Amino acid sequence: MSWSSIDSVLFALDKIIFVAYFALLVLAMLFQRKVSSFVITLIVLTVANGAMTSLSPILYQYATQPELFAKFTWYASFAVIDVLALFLLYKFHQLLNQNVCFIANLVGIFFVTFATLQTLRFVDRFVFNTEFFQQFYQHAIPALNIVLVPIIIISWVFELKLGQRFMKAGSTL
Amino acid sequence: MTVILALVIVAINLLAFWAYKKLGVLRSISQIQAEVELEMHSRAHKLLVRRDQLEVGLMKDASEQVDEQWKGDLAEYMETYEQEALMRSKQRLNRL
Repeated sequence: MSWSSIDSVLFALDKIIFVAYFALLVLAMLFQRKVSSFVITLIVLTVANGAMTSLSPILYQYATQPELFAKFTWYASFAVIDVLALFLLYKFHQLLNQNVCFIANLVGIFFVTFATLQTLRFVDRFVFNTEFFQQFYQHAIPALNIVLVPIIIISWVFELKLGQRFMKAGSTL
Repeated sequence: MTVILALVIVAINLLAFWAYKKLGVLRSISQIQAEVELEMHSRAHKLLVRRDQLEVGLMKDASEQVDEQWKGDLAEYMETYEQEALMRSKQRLNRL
């Protein structure tokens, strides 16, 4: 499989993941009907994913230029979006007085991991010239993105069940 | 040039860690509150049971005295709730 076809598959997957987050957000709003840590997390995930998906083609086109700064823009832009997503996650929880749930913490870890992967790959490629992280970078980010969707669904179902059990226990007191 | 750009991206990465740490502090506060709430829940339940007994008239003999005692216990409970949450936040968040 050529690089361009792998690339087009990855871009297509990005769009599917974005649609999945959006659908999950709508479902969460229908079921919960109030602001919660889970809803905040989904909003941040959808916005960050949407920004990355829409910027990817432009950045990719720019990054094909031979200058170092063009390559840097590719890695740094994604890292900046990750930082902004983390900041939004923190600020929304703080402003709306919401407890930081397990999923929010997990998504926070994922954003830090994504930003770290961008840094590692840039340093690996242009400072040490080792290409040590090439394969890892190429596959880890889309793989983590894909894995995150079922993890979020499972955690949400688990949290909903836990909440129902808590309500039942409360009514029997 | 390469080193400067590498330093810039490392700085962005450090910002990500800093933002995650802030989120972690917020999570600690939520956990402390949940923990205190859970502990105080059983005490609140006992207080409510006593109030029910008072209102039904199971303790007719010393109703006024028991009522006063109940009010005192409720005030103590509310004060403990505030102090416990504050104390735990101070103890744990200082370490961060």
